[in-house]
Amino acid sequence: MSMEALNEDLLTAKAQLERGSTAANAAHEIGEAMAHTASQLEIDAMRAGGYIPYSNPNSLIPDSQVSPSGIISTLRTAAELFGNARSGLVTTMGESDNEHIQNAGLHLYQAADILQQDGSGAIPAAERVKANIDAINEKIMALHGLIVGVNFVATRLQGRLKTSASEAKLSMESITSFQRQAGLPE
Amino acid sequence: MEEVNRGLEAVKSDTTRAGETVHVGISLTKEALGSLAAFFQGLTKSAELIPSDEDVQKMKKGTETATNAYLEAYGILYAASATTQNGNLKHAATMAKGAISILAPADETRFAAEQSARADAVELEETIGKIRGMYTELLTLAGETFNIANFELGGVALTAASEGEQAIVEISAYQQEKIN
Repeated sequence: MSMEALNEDLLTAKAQLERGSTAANAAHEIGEAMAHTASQLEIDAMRAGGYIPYSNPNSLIPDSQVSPSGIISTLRTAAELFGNARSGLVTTMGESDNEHIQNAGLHLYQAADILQQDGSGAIPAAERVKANIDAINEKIMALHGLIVGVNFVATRLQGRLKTSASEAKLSMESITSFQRQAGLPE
Repeated sequence: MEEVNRGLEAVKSDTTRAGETVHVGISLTKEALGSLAAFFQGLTKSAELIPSDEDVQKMKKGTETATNAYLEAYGILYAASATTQNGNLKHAATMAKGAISILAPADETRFAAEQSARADAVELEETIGKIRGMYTELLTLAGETFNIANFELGGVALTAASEGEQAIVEISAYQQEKIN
């Protein structure tokens, strides 16, 4: 192979190395931005998690002051008090046929029932809220883990892309050294 | 009659306490709704930050383009260094091979693949996809929870409190008619 033909090949190799390192550097910049974004997402996820009305000492997410368990127990107490009031009314008045007393008894019965009714009562609704909030809390913790993972991988990837671009540059420099020694066009 | 009146006053007192307790529950629910709304807003805002598919694809494409370009350069340099036995060209070939192995090693055994930028890019694509899905799930769940807490819990509890008030009105009416 003539030196001219060899140099043609080397110039092609340099052009490819240049093309490769440009692509790697561009991808590296995206990876760097992605790692930065992941850091922001991590902060935001923690902040959003702090608003979840949840109370769990083992949670990674800061506890909110309002827990659905507290709401459930408050409403149960209210239902019990309405029930007690109705029992008190029955005891006080016996089987009264007075319309006002009968109405009062009915209202008290309904008040307790509305709170506890299966499916459509306030307490079952609060229990569903609790179940959903438990699920939200679990998901936000899993999301946090994924975001940390993205940050780690994006940082590692951009490091790899940068290193590969540096190796390509070193390869190009060695070709140039050869060309200079051999008096070939660079 | 006095005894009956005392009994009715006790019933009214229990009912009032029950109503107050319901209102405490409603007030806690309102606070929870405020927290949920803030959670939803924060999540919606940060969902906009999730890296776009376009960026992920650009990064993957950049990695592939660089790998292919290095591969071509390495082929040329390997042949040139074998022909010339020149140290500079050998070094150039070694460096080009190094660049390839960082991005996408030819012998993609499991271990090697896990060490590569290509594997990182694929992992990022998958994880970002999962994150996007999870934000959607969280926003849906938060919206659903808000609706349950607002309408089914808060609304129904208010009705219960109102029933209690009605009971007191009825008892008072009885007291006015029969006792006072």
